[in-house]
Amino acid sequence: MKLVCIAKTVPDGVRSDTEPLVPVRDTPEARLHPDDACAIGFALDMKRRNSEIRVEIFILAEMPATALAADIARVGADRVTVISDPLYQGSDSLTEARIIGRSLDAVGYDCILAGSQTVEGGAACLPPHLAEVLEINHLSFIREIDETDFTASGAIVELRDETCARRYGVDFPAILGLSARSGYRLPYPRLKDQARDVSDKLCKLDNRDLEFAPTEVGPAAALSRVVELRAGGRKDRTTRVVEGDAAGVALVHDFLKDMGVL
Amino acid sequence: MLRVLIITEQAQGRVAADLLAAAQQVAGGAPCEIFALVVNGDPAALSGWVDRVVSVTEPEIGEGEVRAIADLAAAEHRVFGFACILAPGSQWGSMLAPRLATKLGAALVPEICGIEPAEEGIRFLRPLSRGGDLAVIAVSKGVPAVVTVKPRVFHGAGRPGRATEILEGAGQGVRRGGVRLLGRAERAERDIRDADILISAGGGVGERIDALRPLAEALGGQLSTSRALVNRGVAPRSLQVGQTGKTVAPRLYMAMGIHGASQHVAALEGADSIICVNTNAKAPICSLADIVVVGDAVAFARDLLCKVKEEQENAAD
Ligand SMILES: Cc1cc2nc3c(=O)[nH]c(=O)nc-3n(C[C@H](O)[C@H](O)[C@H](O)COP(=O)(O)OP(=O)(O)OC[C@H]3O[C@@H](n4cnc5c(N)ncnc54)[C@H](O)[C@@H]3O)c2cc1C
Repeated sequence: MKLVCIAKTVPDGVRSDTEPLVPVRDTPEARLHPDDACAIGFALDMKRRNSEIRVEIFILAEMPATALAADIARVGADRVTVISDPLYQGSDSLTEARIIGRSLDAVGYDCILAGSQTVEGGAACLPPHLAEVLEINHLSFIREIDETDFTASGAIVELRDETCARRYGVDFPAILGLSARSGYRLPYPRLKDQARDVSDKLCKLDNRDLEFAPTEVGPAAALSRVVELRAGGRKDRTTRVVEGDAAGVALVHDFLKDMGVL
Repeated sequence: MLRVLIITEQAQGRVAADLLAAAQQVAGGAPCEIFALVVNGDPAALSGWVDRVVSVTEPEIGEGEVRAIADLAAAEHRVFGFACILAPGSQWGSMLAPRLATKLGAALVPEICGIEPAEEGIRFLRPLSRGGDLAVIAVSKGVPAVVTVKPRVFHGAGRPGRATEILEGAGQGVRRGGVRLLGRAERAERDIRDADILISAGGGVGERIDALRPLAEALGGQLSTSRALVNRGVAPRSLQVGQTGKTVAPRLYMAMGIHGASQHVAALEGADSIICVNTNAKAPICSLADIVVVGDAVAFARDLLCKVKEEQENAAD
């Protein structure tokens, strides 16, 4: 059985609004989103239980990620490929899915594992884009994978939202998007492994390998663009102070109505 | 004429009011035909709201099969050429929209919270961060947009009274299978990290915490607490917001009798709006709030609940 994990590096200076990012040791270079780290953690956990499982990682990186890749190899991945090219910078999520899709062309897989969320806390679009590029099944926001029923032909997973939990059966090949709250952890390399040479497990891909035309990637390929940024947020809001009387009740009531709560 | 499609979520037995409101805004004042795609739902529920409902009844298309829904929407797009397709910003919609955009070669704009008419096409607003900064997104000319709509941000003025035509759509030729819903369970204890609305009780509420429950229920929200109440044994640890509790990101956080210690507010950065009720208008939490209500938290919760019920009864008459 072959598991592929896909991940994107998070640029320095960016922090997650929801969960702390996962540094792999204290490398100043690339870090992983906790959801992506969790997906890799799950795959490696499965491999520890069943040595016949092969785990390959693909990291789309906008910055050097060699130390990150090496540490992931040191904790058990069979192969770690870093995909990076200056041409790919500023690509939108569909283009990123196409880049990863092409990287997987010659790689067989039963299941692709990914994260569910972006650093801003929104839903990650890359996994469902990639599922359509590869024409395979997909589910994101997974909180639980039934480990006893995880086979080369499919899995049983649980998704949760505010009100309910849903269990799904998914046939492979498929992309499963995990949430960091599923609790799988990417382990740190043990002290004695930290200098272990893993260069035979590391691989790099750039546009010489993937051969995209310059117009097919980067901002040139994007179908939408940001034309303006607007500051907002609580820091700029004015605070209204009212008494807890009828006028105060009416003001809060109207506020809730405007928000769509009522 | 501009054509817009809304995709209503399977297993959601109600009209997606925010999608309908967003669809009206896409058109601005221009003439526009609004379509809705309903799969295994009740097309009559959209009567008066849209111009055409494409209704597909195909029990084999189960709840998790967004691939089939993407195929159905793409087939309608090929016939009608929509300028914009709107899906809900739920988990379901977030899995569907990128698939559909890929299939159509459309621009994907996730989690929009605003729409602005512009000289060249439509512009969408989307949150950039939990702090509330916004990006204004323009879609390339002639390219259809597939958007997901942030829940409960758009509000309509009511049923526009359109003459609705119901068309029977065919489910043939769509990709099926591969993802099966096996079961669904309402969550007994809901995680406060998933909550959209939190009514949070602090030291000023104390043992009276249960008095806030009816308001939480009326607003469709959940109760949470500060550590003061966990320490007193009044509330379980699973409800504690803060540095040693949970980081939350609700749309509305009502801080009831909470002082606003740094360990508490550290976990509130993701909250969109904060209302605090406190006897002390100078409590630190007040500087973060959209509205500060000066008074007793429990009495205010009771009065607000009365007002909510009163308005609901008036609306029903
Ligand atoms: C290491 C560490 C970690 C911590 N982690 C957390 C954490 O995760 N979460 C957390 O919450 N705290 C945490 N704390 C505790 C924190 O410092 C505060 O003690 C705690 O948040 C106080 O809770 P409170 O504001 O509800 O209560 P209080 O401090 O008792 O404040 C009560 C507030 O209610 C107002 N009030 C009084 N009566 C009324 C009334 N009738 N109606 C309306 N308002 C009224 C008061 O004016 C006051 O502002 C931590 C502390 C430490 C040292």
